[in-house]
Amino acid sequence: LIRLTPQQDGLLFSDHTPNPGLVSTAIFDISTVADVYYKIELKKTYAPVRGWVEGDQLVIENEYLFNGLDHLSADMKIEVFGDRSVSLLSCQVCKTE
Amino acid sequence: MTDRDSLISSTVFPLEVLTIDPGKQGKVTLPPIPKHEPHEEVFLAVIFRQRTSTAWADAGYEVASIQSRLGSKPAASIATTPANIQTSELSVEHTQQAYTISAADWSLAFDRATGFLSSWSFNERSLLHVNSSSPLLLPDFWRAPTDNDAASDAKDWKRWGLDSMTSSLRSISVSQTPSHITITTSSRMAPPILAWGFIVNTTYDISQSGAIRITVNIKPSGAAPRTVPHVGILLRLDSSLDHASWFGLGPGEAYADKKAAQRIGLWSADIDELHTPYEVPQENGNRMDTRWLRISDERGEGGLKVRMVRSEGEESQEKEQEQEQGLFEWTLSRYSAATLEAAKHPCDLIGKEEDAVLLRLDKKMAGVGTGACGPREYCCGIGDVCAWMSTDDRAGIGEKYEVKCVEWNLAFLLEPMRRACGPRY
Repeated sequence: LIRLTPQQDGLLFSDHTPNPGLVSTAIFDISTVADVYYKIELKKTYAPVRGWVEGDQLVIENEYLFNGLDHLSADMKIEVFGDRSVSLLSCQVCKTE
Repeated sequence: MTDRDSLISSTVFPLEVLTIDPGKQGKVTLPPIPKHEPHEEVFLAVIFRQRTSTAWADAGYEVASIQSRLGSKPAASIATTPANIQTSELSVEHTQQAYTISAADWSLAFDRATGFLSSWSFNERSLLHVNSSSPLLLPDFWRAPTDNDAASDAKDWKRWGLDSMTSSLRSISVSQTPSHITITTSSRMAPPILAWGFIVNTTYDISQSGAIRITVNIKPSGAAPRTVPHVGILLRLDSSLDHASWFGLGPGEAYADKKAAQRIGLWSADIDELHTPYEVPQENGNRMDTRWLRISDERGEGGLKVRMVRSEGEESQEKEQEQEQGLFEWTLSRYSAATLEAAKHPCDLIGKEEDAVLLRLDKKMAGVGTGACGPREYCCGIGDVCAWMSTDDRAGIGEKYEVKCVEWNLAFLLEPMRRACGPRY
């Protein structure tokens, strides 16, 4: 069952700013200085690409009905989180030509 | 570059991933899991972005993201009471009213009549609200009803008096070893008039460094309600301690049944950002799956570091409840549950801020559920929609997202921060 905005119907506050159902406030992510992530509940639900880890493999599922994934690039990174610090151990960007 | 964002290795994402046909799956072999300490955790993040701009989004727009743990869960984060940084003598002073425990740079006191922690200061700065008429640290079960709660669960909870619990002390004792002082209290938390309540046994284990390991055993007695809104403790902190940084799900709010859009990471936010201004003020701003939490002032100084620690009997309990060990939920707010509940609109909250900062540390917070097809008592279970709903998706809070009113053990380690930690923003 899809729960978009369980706490309140609608996706916008009355001043027309998005509520968490649509977009959460951008809070600075101290782990990744370069990226600010916008976390979106509706967007997560509608995402056309899903993935999960099976053993040492990443499985990626294309949920588009007609599109391949050629129009997307993928950034992958592996983060190690500890008690005091984060190391970004592996980071790579896929740039296909 | 710092140790926080050092780039140690780099690999190339295979291209075939990106030629997955519609409806199909593709597999990519992951690089080896980097070496890490047993208590550290490794996460993989993949972000899919548009290569070129389209009529609806610019190039680089994030279309989808994946996050997944790599390798095993971390070894039990054994939050040992921190090594004693100093060797100053612990002393306990008994008076008629209080036990006062102090060392060179900190002191704390317990009220002997109520059993409550009544003051806690570190480097001559108070961590807790001063001159408070409310308890500074108390088990907490109530939440401002959500729109979904209001239809059914909140009525039950109020009938059981969960919004008006008070605590009465049965016994308090103090014991001392050279390196620790332990205060043990036994009290009963109950609503007025009704015959049921919780027996609450609390142990405060205080180390020379000034850290408190607080262990709470909560046991319902008498005919108790089936569920409670949440189970945790509520602290009233000094009002300057209004910044949080944490390792867990973020940056936005999360509840057990609406957390998929949040990501594990290191996050920081101030108390205003932690509040979600719903049009009808209600329970909000919960952060989940937290490994540690630091509360500080706006300069990143002072305050507390919080971790959940293991308590006796917890292992079997967690197995039963399929909870991951050492993860807790929390909110930091200037509004009490009663204030949120009373407010009809966000403007009604203006001027209703508490003098203290309210820090709620939860072992478990109920999900927000759904009221999409009406309150539970009108749920027929046979309609087109209801027929395929599991009990986890029915009207109200799904069964596995409820907090059962049973015996609970919780244990938190609260460490005063000796100096500024982490980056400042």
